[in-house]
Amino acid sequence: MNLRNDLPGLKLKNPVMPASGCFSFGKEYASFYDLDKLGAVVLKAATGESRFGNDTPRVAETASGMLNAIGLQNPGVDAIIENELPFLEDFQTPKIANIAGSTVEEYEEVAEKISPHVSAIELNISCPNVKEGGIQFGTDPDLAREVVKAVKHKSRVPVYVKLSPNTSDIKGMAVACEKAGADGLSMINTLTGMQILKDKRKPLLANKTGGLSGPAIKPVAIRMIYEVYPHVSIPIIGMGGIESAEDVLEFLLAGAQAIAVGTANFRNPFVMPEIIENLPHVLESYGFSSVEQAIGGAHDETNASPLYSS
Amino acid sequence: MRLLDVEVIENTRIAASTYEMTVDSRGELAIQKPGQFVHVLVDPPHYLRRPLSIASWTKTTLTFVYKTFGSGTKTLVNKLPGDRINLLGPLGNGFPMPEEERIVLIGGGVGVPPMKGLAQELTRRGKRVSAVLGFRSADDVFYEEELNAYADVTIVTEDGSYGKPGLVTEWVDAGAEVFYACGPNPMLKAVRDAFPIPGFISMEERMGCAIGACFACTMKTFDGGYVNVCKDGPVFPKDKVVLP
Repeated sequence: MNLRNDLPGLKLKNPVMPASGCFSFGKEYASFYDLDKLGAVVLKAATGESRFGNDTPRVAETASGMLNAIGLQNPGVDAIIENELPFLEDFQTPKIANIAGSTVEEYEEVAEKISPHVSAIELNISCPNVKEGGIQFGTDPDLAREVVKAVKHKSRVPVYVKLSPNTSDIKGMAVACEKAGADGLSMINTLTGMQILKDKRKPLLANKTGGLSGPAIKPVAIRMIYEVYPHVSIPIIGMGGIESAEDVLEFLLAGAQAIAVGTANFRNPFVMPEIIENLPHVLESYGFSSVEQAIGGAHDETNASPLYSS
Repeated sequence: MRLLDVEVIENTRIAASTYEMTVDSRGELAIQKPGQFVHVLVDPPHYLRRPLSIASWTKTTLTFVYKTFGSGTKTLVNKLPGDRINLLGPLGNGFPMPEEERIVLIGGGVGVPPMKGLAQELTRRGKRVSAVLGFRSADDVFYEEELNAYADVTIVTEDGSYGKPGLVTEWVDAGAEVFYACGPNPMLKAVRDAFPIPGFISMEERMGCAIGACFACTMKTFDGGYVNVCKDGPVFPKDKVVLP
């Protein structure tokens, strides 16, 4: 079974990668399995300076998911290049750096510094958990266009823009990013949510609001990818609640060319290698002989499934 | 560290909303020290694992105590002998062994269980161990007898309905040379402020991955850095972490 797929800057041996922020810089999961099993490794967001992030509690469980408000904690781009990237040099699989900032200049600085060390950049304009930076760029098409253009100018590698679902016009945002020069899209980031402690009569998270992730948001991700796919010609990396090879196929059919696994890693640290192992069987059982064949399959009405055609 | 499906051997209520579960670890969990924990999967739709401290263990069994704070841990109550649960572990650093001879263990509520394994190990090393275990009320008290086998135990209840009345800090052995404390943050703070002797605290914090990757349980340290409770802890020297 051919799981290969080439995206700008990324020769993927399979379409499975971790979602940024759920995998730190790879070290912890490398004690469970060989990271070269993965299609790519996606790093935790880098900012210009180190950030501590939000106070605890930073996570809350929800039905079939979780809220998090970590707040882009990271040691800063220089320390990441110096202390975190060397460990990943031993692995051949492509690395994607997720970058964030409070200003266009900060995004530019981080992109310029880190892009020589990675295969692609994921531009985080969708973090819901920081006061400045991130999501305002992801909800205003003009700001998005500006930051994408600026980062494209500084980056030596292709730029994927991670879109926020916290917008009324996901298609408009996607098209704006493509027009600004994005090489691909990552979608979706978390949905803003809140949980309230009944006994204390206040929000559970120190940050009050957090980003909802996990299987609970999968239908939202599928819908948004399905909606964006016909309107862009750049590839989509799909994410949002994926926890099985069956889920991966659903994302491929919606229009994703690759996928990322986030919250499910916390439930089962082996979930990604397990998905990669199961994917050929799942593709085969639904009548596909490659990943490529399945991409966008839900949009092509003339290409009905051989399983159900009469 | 292993991810394992294990069989439940015993699952018993030992106090109000408090249960002790023993599972068959098949000799595949290499627990190194008291104070380590396991990350336990509960039933859907609950998504995250629950970090539960190890109370005691043998080569082939593992025992932990859980309190049914919410509907997630409540799903564990229904597990019968022969049922399977999934756990990840052992995790965390555990308690370091002291040079000192006279040791006091201070446990509050669900912070009591790791004190059992610790008392057992300290006694094995010939230390003189006392333990002060604090609970809200008589109905909440557990592990008095179990700890008595290894330590000179004082039970304290906040409402005075059992044992000594008041807070754990009022009943600690004045001659102790080092303390080990596990419990809610206000208790840890009070213990740290009350006793100038060296000490170690084991922290409870909400966790995501429990392996140091998600930064859910991150705490600031007094030296300006940070730690992840799951991987760098849960046990720290008393003056390392800024308690919230």
